[in-house]
Amino acid sequence: MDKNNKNNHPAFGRLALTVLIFFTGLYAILYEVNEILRYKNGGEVDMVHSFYKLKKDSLDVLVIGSSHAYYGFQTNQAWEDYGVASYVMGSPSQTMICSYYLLEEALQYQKPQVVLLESYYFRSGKVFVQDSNLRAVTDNMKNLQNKRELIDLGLPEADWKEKLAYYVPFFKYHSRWKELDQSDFTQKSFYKGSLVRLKHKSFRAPEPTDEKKEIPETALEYFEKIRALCEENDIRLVVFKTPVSNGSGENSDWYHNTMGITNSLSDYLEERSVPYLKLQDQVGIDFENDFYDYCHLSFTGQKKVTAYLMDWLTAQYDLPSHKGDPAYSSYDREYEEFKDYINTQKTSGSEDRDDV
Amino acid sequence: MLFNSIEFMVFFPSVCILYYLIPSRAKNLFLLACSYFFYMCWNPKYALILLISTAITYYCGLLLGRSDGIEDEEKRIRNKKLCIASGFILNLGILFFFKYFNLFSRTLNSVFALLHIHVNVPFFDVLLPAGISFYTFKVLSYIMDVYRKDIPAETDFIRYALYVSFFPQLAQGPIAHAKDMLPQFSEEHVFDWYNIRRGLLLMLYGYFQKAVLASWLGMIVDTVYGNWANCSGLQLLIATVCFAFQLYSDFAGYSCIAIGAGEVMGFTTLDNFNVPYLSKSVSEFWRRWHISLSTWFRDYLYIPLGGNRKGKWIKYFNIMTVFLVSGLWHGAEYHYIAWGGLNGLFQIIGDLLRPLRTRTLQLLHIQKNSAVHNIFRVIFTFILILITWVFFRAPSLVESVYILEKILIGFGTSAWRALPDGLKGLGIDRPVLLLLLASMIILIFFDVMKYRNICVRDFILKQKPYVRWTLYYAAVTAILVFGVYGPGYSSTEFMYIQF
Repeated sequence: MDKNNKNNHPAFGRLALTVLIFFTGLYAILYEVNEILRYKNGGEVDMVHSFYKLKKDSLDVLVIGSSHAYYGFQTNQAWEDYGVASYVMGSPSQTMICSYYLLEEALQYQKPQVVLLESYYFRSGKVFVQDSNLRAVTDNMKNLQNKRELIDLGLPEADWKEKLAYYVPFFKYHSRWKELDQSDFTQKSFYKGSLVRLKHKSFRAPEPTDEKKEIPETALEYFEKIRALCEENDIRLVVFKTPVSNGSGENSDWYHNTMGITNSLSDYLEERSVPYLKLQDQVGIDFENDFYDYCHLSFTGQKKVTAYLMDWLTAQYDLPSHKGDPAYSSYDREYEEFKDYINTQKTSGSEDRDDV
Repeated sequence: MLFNSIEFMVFFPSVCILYYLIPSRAKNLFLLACSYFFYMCWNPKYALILLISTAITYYCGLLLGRSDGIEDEEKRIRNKKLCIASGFILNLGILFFFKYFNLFSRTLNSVFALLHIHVNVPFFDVLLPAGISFYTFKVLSYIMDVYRKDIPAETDFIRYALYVSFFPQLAQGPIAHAKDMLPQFSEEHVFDWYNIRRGLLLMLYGYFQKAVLASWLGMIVDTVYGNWANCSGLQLLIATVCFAFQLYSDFAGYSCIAIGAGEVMGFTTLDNFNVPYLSKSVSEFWRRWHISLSTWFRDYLYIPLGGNRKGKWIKYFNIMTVFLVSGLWHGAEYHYIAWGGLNGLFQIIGDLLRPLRTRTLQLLHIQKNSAVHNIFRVIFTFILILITWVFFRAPSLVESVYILEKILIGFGTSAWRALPDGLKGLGIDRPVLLLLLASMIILIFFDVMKYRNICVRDFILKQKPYVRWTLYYAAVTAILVFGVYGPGYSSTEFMYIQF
């Protein structure tokens, strides 16, 4: 052993600084590695992750909800046609409980004029449907209090070790090193929370129904929390329902349940004077071309829903266009990227789900 | 509390920082409290057994020390023998109850059944206290050392209790002998930044061996051995080779963490593994594998039995005794006893065949120390050790024999042709295979360096800071990314913890 080295102790202050610098460097490296390894699921998890990149207090419209929201509302179109800055804080199977916490989270960084809440998950009183759905919300959530409350609600039985993997998602996703592909190394900046399905499937228009189904208590409880939060922050809350088909008939029960919840919700919201835009019939949906699958809209359907919602919102509220404002130049840039991307996909005739 | 647990990642740095901050006179008491806390994280009740073993042997030591003052030789020897016998019987009794009683009951019931005697010897559903095999051997080494006057009896109970329970060595060794370890608890351990980094580097290498190499190899081994009846001989052979390196990297990895953790606090522990798979004979293997246990058996069983001083056949008897006991120490199962017996048998056969080997080398004009001969010996020894590992890993003695038979029969050309398909059956995919190959290269590199007495740690610590830091960052990141841990991977216990 080198005696000179052995007895050459750095002073305490210098040693503490060295250790601090070492761990800061290690944190920085692991942060970057985590960015590569984190679960992305074709962009569905990027919505919460990318939200924090928005310029503070720059949003006009915040959309919250499940896949029905991010396949139903096209933020790039809202920008291009109306000059409105919008973002979909969406996540797969986002329940009302998750929507509430995501709204809590979003309002720490943004002060939108309008919150658009997609109503499909009024059907569920659960905290989450699948574990991956909870993770899609909590993995990238920054506010520790929101994260803790949601994790505690979702995993009441879990011990601290199980919960730790939700606070430090690297513990779970480090094993993704085996399945990394190109998309893990390249980030798309033009999501703004919306996803696009270019392909479509044809369905028959379902029969309208007046039946009603009971909305779970917990869903209503958390909706009330969302409503209170919006009122507290002087935000207009608008609930909307994207159109659905009933598939080829095999999803009849699902369709009736969905419409039953929609009809019950309509009464509930009317009593409380909350605007509810049921878009099943209003937007001129073409059941031949406007669906990707029986319950999610294709790009053409998404455009119709977005146009309707934006027309309604701009007519009701004072949503000025930010077009030409240098502070919003990133929206122009990202719209161009988005347009190029759509054109490329259309030209090649292919749609890679993970890339869209 | 396992070394690869989150708790330990918090526990160890906290203990180290406080250890260097508190006054010297309080250090032993502090470490003792920490060690008992560490142990009680498994099962608080079993700390009592640890304390009982410690107290018994502490008083045995004191009585042995006092007996040395008796002038009447006959009385002195009688007293000392009584003391050491009591210490051994009481401690081995505890070990027997927890570890071997059920094997004993099972055997007795089988014998009674064969003799058509209707007696039912009961079983006890008790959990084996963590580390009992290790600390029992530690306390026995202490009373033997005092008995032989190699060390004086320890009068300070705190110091002795710390020797027994010192947390880096508590769960899985190394079984530090009293004469090597106990005096270190009387020394002052000052903050030594160079040694701390050396220790941390060794721990880092240990974590790599455990979390990356052993854990991924374990997946192959578990997949194949868990379904051995439907696997080909070649798959079983590959899995057995993987097991050889899994067990090595798991246990050597643990030892590195234990020794490194001791070094961080200023304690020196003898090496537990010294490149065992480059051994040229089975007896050399046992001088390089689990050295602390091998030397324990050598010092406290083989030599007292007469060692090699009483003729060839007594020596062979002693070797067989040592290895059968070693097998039994590893587990209360017949396949462990067979494993131990086989290791003893290979050594005896090797010794008996030595004249024949010498003659053959002369006839073939091969130099005894030539590279070709040495390589052949290393490979042949590895094959013999592989055979013994089948007995070690298989679930039972009967299954060991079937697995070995499958390996020998299934080792034909058709098996090699079926290799690509066979790899799928190993339960891993291509990225894991590449990771394992890269990890094996790292392991072999470090082993070859060690074999050549090159200390990689000192070499790294002499490099410029940017080189060192790059290496540290690369190593930590690689272990965190490629290691097997987190949700879905619960069975990452160290393998020797069960012994």
